[in-house]
Amino acid sequence: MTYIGQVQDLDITPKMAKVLKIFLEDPAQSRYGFEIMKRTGLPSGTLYPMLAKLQGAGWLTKGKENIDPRAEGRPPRVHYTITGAAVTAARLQFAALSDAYRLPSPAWPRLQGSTA
Amino acid sequence: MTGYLWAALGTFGGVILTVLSDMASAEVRDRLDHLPHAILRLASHRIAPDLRTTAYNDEWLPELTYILRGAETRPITRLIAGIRYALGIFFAARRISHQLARPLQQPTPTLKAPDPRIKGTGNLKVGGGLEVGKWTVSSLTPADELRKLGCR
Repeated sequence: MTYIGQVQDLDITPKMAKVLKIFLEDPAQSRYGFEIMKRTGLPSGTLYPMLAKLQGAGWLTKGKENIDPRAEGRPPRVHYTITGAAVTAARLQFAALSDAYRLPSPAWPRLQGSTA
Repeated sequence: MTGYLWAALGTFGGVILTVLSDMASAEVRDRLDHLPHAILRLASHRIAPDLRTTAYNDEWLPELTYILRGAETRPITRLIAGIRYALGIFFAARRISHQLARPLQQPTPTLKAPDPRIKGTGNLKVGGGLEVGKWTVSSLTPADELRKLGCR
């Protein structure tokens, strides 16, 4: 098991990349489960195990919404924030992924009939 | 006279039907609103009992309440969103439970302990003989070295 900074190294899947991208837009901003579902199009059955995994690996931290439940008429929701070490780790992994998936540059066509 | 009677009866019947239809609609709406909650409650029984408070009470239920009470404006859209949310959790409950049950990873800084068999100091040189620092090899055991550096 390897660690990048203070977080556990994770294999970023395309779906996880979608989720992490939202957190990386503004790392200081907390995100709610339903908000992430709407923005990524991922169902709760895919998102919540992923959030639990990211939390367990130290990539995300959980917090509670700061509201008055009586005034709002509902209980406070849980929100997630990306950790500082995870921002670095995610950026490094994104760069590596982008490098791995980059198409090779096309070869120059050979000139026909050229003399040596 | 009979005409007036039929008209009065018709109006009365219309009012009764409207009231009954409203009551039936409210009843159906109320029962349907409970459906996502019921699915989510079933999902909570699929996870480890010690995780129910954190997962079900603290996270899933408040999120579902938010979805059903105003995340979407239209009642049918809201209900569909609530059912989809609850069903997703229901089918993924075991995986969520598995992930949550794993102990939180607390990474420790990895320090390479020096080899106690090698002892001595010397100058660190780069190409051209330029000195950039000194190297020291401690005679302490790896455990003592780590303790000295403040690690466990």
